[in-house]
Amino acid sequence: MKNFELDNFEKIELLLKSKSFDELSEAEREFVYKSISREEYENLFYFYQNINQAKTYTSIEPKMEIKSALDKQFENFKSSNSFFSRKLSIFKVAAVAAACFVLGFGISSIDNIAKDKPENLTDSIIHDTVQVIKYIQLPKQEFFAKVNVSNKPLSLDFPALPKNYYHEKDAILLASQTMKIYNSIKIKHYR
Amino acid sequence: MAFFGKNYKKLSDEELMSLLIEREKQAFDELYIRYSKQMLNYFYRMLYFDKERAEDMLHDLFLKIIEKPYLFNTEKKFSTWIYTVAGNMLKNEFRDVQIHGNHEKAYGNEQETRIENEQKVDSKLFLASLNKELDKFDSELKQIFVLRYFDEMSIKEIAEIANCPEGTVKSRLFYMNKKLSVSLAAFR
Repeated sequence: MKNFELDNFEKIELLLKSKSFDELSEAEREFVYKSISREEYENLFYFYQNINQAKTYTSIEPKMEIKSALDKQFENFKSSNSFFSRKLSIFKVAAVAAACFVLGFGISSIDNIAKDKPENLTDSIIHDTVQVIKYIQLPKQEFFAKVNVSNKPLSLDFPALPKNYYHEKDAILLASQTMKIYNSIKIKHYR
Repeated sequence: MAFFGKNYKKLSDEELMSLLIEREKQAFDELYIRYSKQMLNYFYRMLYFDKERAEDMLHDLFLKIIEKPYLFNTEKKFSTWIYTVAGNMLKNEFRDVQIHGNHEKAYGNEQETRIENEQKVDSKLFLASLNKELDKFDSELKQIFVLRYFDEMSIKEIAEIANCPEGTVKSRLFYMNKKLSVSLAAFR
C-alpha cells in the first residue's frame, strides 16, 4: 500500500460511505484516482452500502436471562468474597505471604545477630570491667581472697583512683573510658 | 438527578470500573447497559451469526468482569480493553473449533435461520456470502474488519485491540476491502 493511500485511507472511506462515483466533484475524483480506479471505487461504494444495510438487519438484543444470571452470580460472588479475594489476585496473596515469611525470618535472624552485635558486646565488656574495677578498689587481701589467685600485684593500666575510693558510678565511667580505648584499637585493627 | 448517591449514567466507563472493583452493583449494571448489546453483536458477527453461542460468550465476558475487575487498568480505555478480552475469548473459541471441527459444522448450519426478516433477503444473502469470503482470511483480519465496519471503531482503537500499528490496520483493511468488493460485486 502506498503512503498516499495510508495517509488518506479515512478520507477515501468517508467518500465511499457518502457518495457514488457520479456524485464526486472533479477535485474529489482527482483525489480518488491517486489510489483507486473508477471501477474499484464503484465496487467499494456498493460494498460499503451493503455492509451498512446488513448491519442494520443483523443487530440482536441481549436476552433478559443473561442479565438475571449475571445478577445472581454477582451477588453470590460478593457474598462469598473475603477481603483478600476481593482485591488481591492469587499472585498478590502469594507475594504477601512470601513477604511475611521473609520478614519473620529476618526478624528472628536479626534477634540472633543482636546477641553478638557490638552494642551488646560493649555492654558486657563494660559490665565485666566494672566488676574488675570494683575488686581493684577493694583492699588487696580481700581482692586476692575473692579471686583466689596468687599474691601477685595487678598490672592493669586503669587510671588510678584515690585509695580506698569506691563508687559504682565512677567505676562505670572508668569502664566507658576503657571501652573507648578498646573501640579505637578495634577500628584500627579492622582498617 | 441523584441527591443521595452517585449518578452512574454520568460516570465514565473507567470510573465505573473503579467502582466495580469496590463491588458496587450499580456500576456493573451501568456498564452492562452500555456494552451488552454491542458486545453481543460483535460475538454474533464473529461467530457466524450463531446467536446462542454469542449469548454464551456475552455471559462469560461479563462474568469475567464480575470475577476479575482488578485485571482492568483504570488508567486505560475500557472500550479498548473489553474488545481485547472479547478478542482473546474468540481466539480460544476458534482454536477449539479448529480442534473439534470446522466453522461450517460448528456454526454454519444455523446461519439460515438467524435472520428472520424475509424482506431483507438481499442483506441475508450478502451476509452469508460476506462470511464465506471472510472465512478465507485469518481470524485476526476478520476481527479488524468487523471492528471497523460493524462496530464502527476508529483505526487507533482497532490498532490497540489488535496490538499492531495503525498503518498495518489501514493496509489490511484496504487490501481486504479491495478483494471483498470484487468477490461480492454481484451484490451491486
